[in-house]
Amino acid sequence: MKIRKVLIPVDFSPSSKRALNCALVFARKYQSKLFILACSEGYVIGPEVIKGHWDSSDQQTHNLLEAIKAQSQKETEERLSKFLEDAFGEELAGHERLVVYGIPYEEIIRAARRLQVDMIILGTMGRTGIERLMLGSTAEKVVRLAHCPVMTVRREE
Amino acid sequence: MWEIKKVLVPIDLSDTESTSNTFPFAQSLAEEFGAELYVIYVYQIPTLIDLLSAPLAFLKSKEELAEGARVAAEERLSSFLDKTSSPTIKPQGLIRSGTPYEEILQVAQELTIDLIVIGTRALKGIDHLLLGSTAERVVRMASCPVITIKPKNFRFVMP
Repeated sequence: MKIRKVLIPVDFSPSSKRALNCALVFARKYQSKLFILACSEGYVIGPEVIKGHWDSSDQQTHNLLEAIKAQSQKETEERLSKFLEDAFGEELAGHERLVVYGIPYEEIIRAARRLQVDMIILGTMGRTGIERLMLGSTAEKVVRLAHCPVMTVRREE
Repeated sequence: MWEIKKVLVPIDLSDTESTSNTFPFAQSLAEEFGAELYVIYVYQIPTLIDLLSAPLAFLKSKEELAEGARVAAEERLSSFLDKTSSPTIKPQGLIRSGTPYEEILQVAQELTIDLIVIGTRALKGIDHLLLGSTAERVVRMASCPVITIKPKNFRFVMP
């Protein structure tokens, strides 16, 4: 068995930092390539807008939405760089970073299929987790829907 | 720093479909990392309802029934381990009775397991909605990382 590619979706939470630490254990053993994915969700109006639930046919709305999307993408990219540099320094050099726009679990599943990863590693308690027993709703959907093995990592207690 | 020194793989001997992907994965990981591999099988002691289909069982005492179930479980596990043996790694079999997820979590704690590898169940038609209640609870409650493995017949359905 080979674990060549690993996808690690991060939401900048302590549990996604721990997920990256675990991913490095696999990367060292299998010389796996890590794909670190952050999802930019845009602002209040949410991704539904981009998916066409709003009428974006007129030019002005269209431009506004594109601007929001671009801004959100840029901010997420900066946030990801800072998060990775602060926590890992140079340790993640040579691995890929991806920023996608949309609903996190859908983008994670899509990226996993597209990149044909052998495993997904993700933190179970992201920004919205409130209880010890709760699995983040994104983590839960990814565990259910992913075609490949999924490793879930709790944040350090 | 997290290291993989002890791997626990719960197996459901009544569901060969879910075990067929899970066990080899755990075995291969344990081999690669030089970890100890623990295989846990949680069996059920028959209840009164189960016994309705075997009327003569009423003649046995509760202790006899429990003992019978334990012996049968041991035999099933050891024949599973014989079948899957590998020259480089010798898994350690563990038998427990009770509620699977509780026993799995308890053993993981007792043995300070670093990683649990667990299969998800396949149910026809709605497999993308169901994780299997044992796997789901283990994922939610285990303090160590958990790898969930899909059964061979898992189909991808984007809802």
